[in-house]
Amino acid sequence: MVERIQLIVASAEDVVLARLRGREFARALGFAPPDAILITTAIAELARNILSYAYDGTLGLRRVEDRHRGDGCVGLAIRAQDKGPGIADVERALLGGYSTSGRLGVGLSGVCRIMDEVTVKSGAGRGTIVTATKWLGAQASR
Amino acid sequence: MSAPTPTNMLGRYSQALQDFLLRDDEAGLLRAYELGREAVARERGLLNFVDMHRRLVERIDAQMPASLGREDRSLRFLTESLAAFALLHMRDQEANAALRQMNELLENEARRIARALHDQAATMLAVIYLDLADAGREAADSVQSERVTRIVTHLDQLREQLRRLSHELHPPMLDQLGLVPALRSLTEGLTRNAGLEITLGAADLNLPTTLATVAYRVVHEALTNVVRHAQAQHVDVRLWLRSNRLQCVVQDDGVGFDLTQRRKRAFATGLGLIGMRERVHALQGRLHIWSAPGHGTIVRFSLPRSQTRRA
Repeated sequence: MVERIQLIVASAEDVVLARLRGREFARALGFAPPDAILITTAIAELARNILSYAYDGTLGLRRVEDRHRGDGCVGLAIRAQDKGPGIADVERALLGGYSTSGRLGVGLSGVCRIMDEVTVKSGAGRGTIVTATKWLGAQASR
Repeated sequence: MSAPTPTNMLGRYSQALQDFLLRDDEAGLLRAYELGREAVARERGLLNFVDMHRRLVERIDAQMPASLGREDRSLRFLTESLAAFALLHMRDQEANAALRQMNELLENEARRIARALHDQAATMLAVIYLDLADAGREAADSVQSERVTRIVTHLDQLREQLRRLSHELHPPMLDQLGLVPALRSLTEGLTRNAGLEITLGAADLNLPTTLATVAYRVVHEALTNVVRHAQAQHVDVRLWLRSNRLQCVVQDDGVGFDLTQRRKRAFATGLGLIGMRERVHALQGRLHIWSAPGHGTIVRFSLPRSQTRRA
């Protein structure tokens, strides 16, 4: 099975392809359709952020295993990276305090709600790396 | 391909759905998601959105010959468009949890201040009373002893105010004896001070602290409204447990009001109805109010019993 997918995000067509690959990947890993839809949604929101703020970037999808659990718990990790202007106040962005998308529960704050673990490395002028992981069977799908 | 893109949501949704029915691809699903996202941004209701889909499908079914798998495609398109609504729902659940936490923090703080007022201020007052009693005995003349008496009278008022304030902040009985005795004390106080006849019907309810506190606050608010606005003679307060939910009704025989005629928001704010509703909703409960001019008011709420931790 494919373990890793790397995609370029520079146009609306790339977003479509990223979603398609993400959906297939999630299903192949064993995520139920509702979770696959949510993972696809997270990919769409991350890709959308790349296009709106940095114009282009990369999106990586990876199968991950939770070593701490030791029971072979599998997850899907999305890594969205760009060299755009970066986020000055990461915490605020994660809470959805920046934009209308935050108010609607989409954007980065939506990604945080969908995925089980999200880390953001960014800063003004330093680009942005978002890593978001969803574990299989970590919680009932919402 | 060069047909103009419709501008309204119905038109664009219809176009995207029809395209997807002809060509099942990820681009179509992304359009579905984006349209759902836009609907959320425009504050369209979920049920209206689904109804729009249903009407379009009916229209398409009438126009196009049935094709294999069309129903499944149509459903997948709809499901995808609902992802944004699902996110909105998650956000609300999160906000609800935060509100519940905030309420608990505020309650704990109120309890702390109430105890400080009750214990520390009461201890201090006791000392002052003793000193004043000494001063009264040692008074050289009637002018001085009258002055001491006056001070004692003022202190009595202050002590009563502090006691009342402390009880309003957090009735100690709620922690010590539970919801029903606390409500009994509340209703007896209202009967004494406001001349309102109140029947309290409740069995022994063994409730978690958070639940008991919210129920107490909501009944308190409802009764405060009755005293202020209803001109009622009698109020019936009943509490019972059913299907693991606390059920409560507060019914008065007062003047009532017309819920439909007044500007609801301003009116609700005035009555503290929003606060009642928020407290109840934070615990995943439900609150309903019925009223009509001349027919009294009924406030009814229910709260799930198992939701909260036992304190």
